[in-house]
Amino acid sequence: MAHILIIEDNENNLYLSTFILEKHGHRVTPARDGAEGIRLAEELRPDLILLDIQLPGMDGYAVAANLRGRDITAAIPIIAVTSYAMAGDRERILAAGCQGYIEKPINPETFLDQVLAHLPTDASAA
Amino acid sequence: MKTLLRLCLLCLLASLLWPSEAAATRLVRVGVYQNEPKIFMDENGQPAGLFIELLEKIAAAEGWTLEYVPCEWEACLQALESGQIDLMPDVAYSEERDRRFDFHQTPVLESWSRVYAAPQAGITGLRDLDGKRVAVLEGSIQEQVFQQLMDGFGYRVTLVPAASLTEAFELASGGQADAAIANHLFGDYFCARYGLQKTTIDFNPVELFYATAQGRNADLLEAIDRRLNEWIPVPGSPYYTTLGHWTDLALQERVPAYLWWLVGSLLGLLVLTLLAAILFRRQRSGSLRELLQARAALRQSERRYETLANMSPVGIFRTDSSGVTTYVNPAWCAISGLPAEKALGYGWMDAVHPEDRPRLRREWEDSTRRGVPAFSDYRFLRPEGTTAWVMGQAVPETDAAGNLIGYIGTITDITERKRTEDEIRRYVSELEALNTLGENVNRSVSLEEVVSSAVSTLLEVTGTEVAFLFLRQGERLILAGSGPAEQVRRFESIPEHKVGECMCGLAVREGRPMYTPDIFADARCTWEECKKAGYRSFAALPLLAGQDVIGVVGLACSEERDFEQQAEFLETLAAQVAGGVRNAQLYAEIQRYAAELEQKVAERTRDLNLALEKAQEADRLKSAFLATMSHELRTPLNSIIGFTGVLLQGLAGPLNAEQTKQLNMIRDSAQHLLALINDVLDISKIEAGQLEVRRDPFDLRAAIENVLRMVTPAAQKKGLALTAAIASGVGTIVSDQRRVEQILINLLTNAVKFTERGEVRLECETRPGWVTLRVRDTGSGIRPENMEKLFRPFQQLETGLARHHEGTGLGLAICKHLASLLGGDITAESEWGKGSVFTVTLPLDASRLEPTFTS
Repeated sequence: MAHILIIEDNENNLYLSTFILEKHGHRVTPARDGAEGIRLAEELRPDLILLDIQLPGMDGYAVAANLRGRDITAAIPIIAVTSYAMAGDRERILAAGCQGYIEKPINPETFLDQVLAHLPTDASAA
Repeated sequence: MKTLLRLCLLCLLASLLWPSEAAATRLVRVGVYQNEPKIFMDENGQPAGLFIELLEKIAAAEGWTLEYVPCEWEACLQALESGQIDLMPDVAYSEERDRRFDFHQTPVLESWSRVYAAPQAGITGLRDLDGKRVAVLEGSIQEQVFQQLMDGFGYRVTLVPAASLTEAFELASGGQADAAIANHLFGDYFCARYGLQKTTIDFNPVELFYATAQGRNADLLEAIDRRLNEWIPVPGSPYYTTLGHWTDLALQERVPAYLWWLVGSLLGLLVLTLLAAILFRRQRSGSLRELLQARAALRQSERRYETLANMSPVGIFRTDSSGVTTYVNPAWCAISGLPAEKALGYGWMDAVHPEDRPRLRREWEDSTRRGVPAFSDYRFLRPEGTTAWVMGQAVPETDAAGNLIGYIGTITDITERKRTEDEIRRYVSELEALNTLGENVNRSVSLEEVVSSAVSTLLEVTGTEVAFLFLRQGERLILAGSGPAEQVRRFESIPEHKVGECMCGLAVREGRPMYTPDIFADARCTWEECKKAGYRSFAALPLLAGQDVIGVVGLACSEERDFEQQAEFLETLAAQVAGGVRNAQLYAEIQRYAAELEQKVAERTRDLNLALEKAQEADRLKSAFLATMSHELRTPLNSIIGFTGVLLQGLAGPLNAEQTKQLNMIRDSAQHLLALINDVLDISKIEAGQLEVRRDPFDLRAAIENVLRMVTPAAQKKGLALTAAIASGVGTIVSDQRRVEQILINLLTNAVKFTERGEVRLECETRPGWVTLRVRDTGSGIRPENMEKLFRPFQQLETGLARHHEGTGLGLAICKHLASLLGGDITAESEWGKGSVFTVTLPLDASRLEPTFTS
């Protein structure tokens, strides 16, 4: 059982991801923008963070870099969720400190496996 | 005589009556004889003449009382010797007289004998006297000296004795003699009165003094010397006023230097004659025959040299030791234009060009005085007015003992050489002038500066007084420049000309230069400006640029000048000016064009910048739009696809068969829509050159298997066999996995789409460096006419009502671009109704290629 922080401004996407994860027994905390995401990450220390790149205001790259710069959140794995679009996006995402990325639209059949692959062993095992 | 006696008595009486006065003053008794104008008794019986007047001035200054004693010449001298008179004026110094009398030191006058003749006698030089009758004072020194002179030159003259100089002149005047000899003071003073004139024959120079008896009256001589020394250096002194009264010269004419040389040479001749006589006497007893033989040989030799001299093309002359010419050969006469008899003595000087005469005389006298060789170039001015340049040289001629006996010299006609030299000099100066002009007019491209330097340089190099430069504008000639300012001021105005008007206008119309030495006499000069300004000669030089006359230069001089002579030079100058002016005009034109062009370019650039800004703005808008499309279109699709998937997974609850079927339809449609959107985005990026591909290693075999898995459901649905043949060597390649998969999915999907029965087959094999992927189908195939449209965007074959396939028509265009970006290519072969083969060729390692962008 893992605790996953989802930073996502689109309600539908947030709901979809939350629905799939909760259906499989994980705990999800939502955040609607980068600042809230950082605050909650520091406060709640989730096992994993799903981070939308196209956020209003502070974008996903900035949020990832910020989280990596904080002692408390530096070690939490971050998975970017982004539309396949721009070449070079993957490099930028990894460079910003994300462990992996999942392309939108998410495929409900593979989504859970993609997320769980990045969970620390103890959390995924639970 | 009685009067004189009475005079003497009166004087004596006076001295007795005023004894105190007599004691205070010095009584000087002066002999007076007739030798007008030096000394004579005038028609009133008063003593007069140069020597008397001068003596009276000295007496007045010294406080002497003068007593005149008239006497004949010889009687006078005897009276002087015996002490009856104290002072005798006008006595020529000689050694013989020096023994009898005392003389003071400074001569009163220098006098010489001169030959006078009537103009019609034609006597100018010594040679003219040969065979003539000459009246001469009988028993005088000049008689002897003249005889010696003529003998010395080998001329024969008949002497006509005269009792006085007056008589001698009367004889010459009356025709009883051809010429008369007199001292030059008498002769010059009286010759006109007798209708005679001076000749150039001067000889026997003497110095004239006052004389006293030996050992007496030293005080008189001392006083005379003192006064002379005081007065002679001072112009306007009593000495010169006296001279002025009795000679026709304000300043005394000095004895020509050559006369003294002549005396010297004659004396030398006498001595030589004497020596020869002695020698002859001695030898006569010895060998008279030998001497005669020697003389004959000498004559022979002389004749030989005479022949040579007569034949020589070089002018030959001889002079005596004092430089007086004694011989000239025919060539000399031919060159100088002077007959031989006129050349003798110093007569040859008359033929020398007046400009060269003073210099030549100076050089010649200097050389002959020093007895050294003489070299001079000079000109003869011939009687007919032509000029001959000669190179003259003369070397001293010496006797066996090394004594100077004369000069022998040559003159060579170097007129031609001088002319050539002058021509070369002129040519060089013209070239220099041309060069200067060329430099000046080409130094600047400003028309104003070119015109101004052309005017000033033309004035300088042509030596003309005023210059104008008109430039042509159609039929008008507009003054562009003129100079110099002080000359231009002489004009009331310099009006614009029309082509064809006056010299300048005509030169332009005809396109050839016009010259006139005199504008007043030239009908072509129709305008008055130059005439009023005082100019006379004029040159109008058209400025030619190819066939066009672009202007005209006018040059004027106030004297008559023959511009024609310099035509070639002037026309070359004009060509230089024309070139400079044309260049400047062209430059100005080019400048104008350049400015226009620059303005146009600036305008166009501004327009382009605006267009570019608009385009950039449009591009920015497009990019922003695409980004928005990408995000905004996909976001709802993400939800649709995601939730449909969740529902189909049964996560939200169990579904019945119909619900599952419909949800699948939703998902397929959404997937299709997403693919369309991605295609549009891809093609937009490709067209904007923004599509980038990755170059990472991946397992091609796994990728192919993945693609086959994805396409299999669609093939199965149509009942088609989907087969693959992957060669064993196919493994990892470096490329963009997503894009390779996209290409294969596209090709396989198309193949499935267009194939109704049969199979779709994927083959993959490698060769060194490359991998080939082939998609074969057994579908409808492609008509040959459509093959070329195959890879164009937005082309869906079989368009129109018959269209029954989904798609944007972008797929193949995108695939072709992607393959190219990855360093490979896609080709298609097809047979209508039988099927198609699409072949993709990719490099095994795309990272070895330069990153490529589509454009």
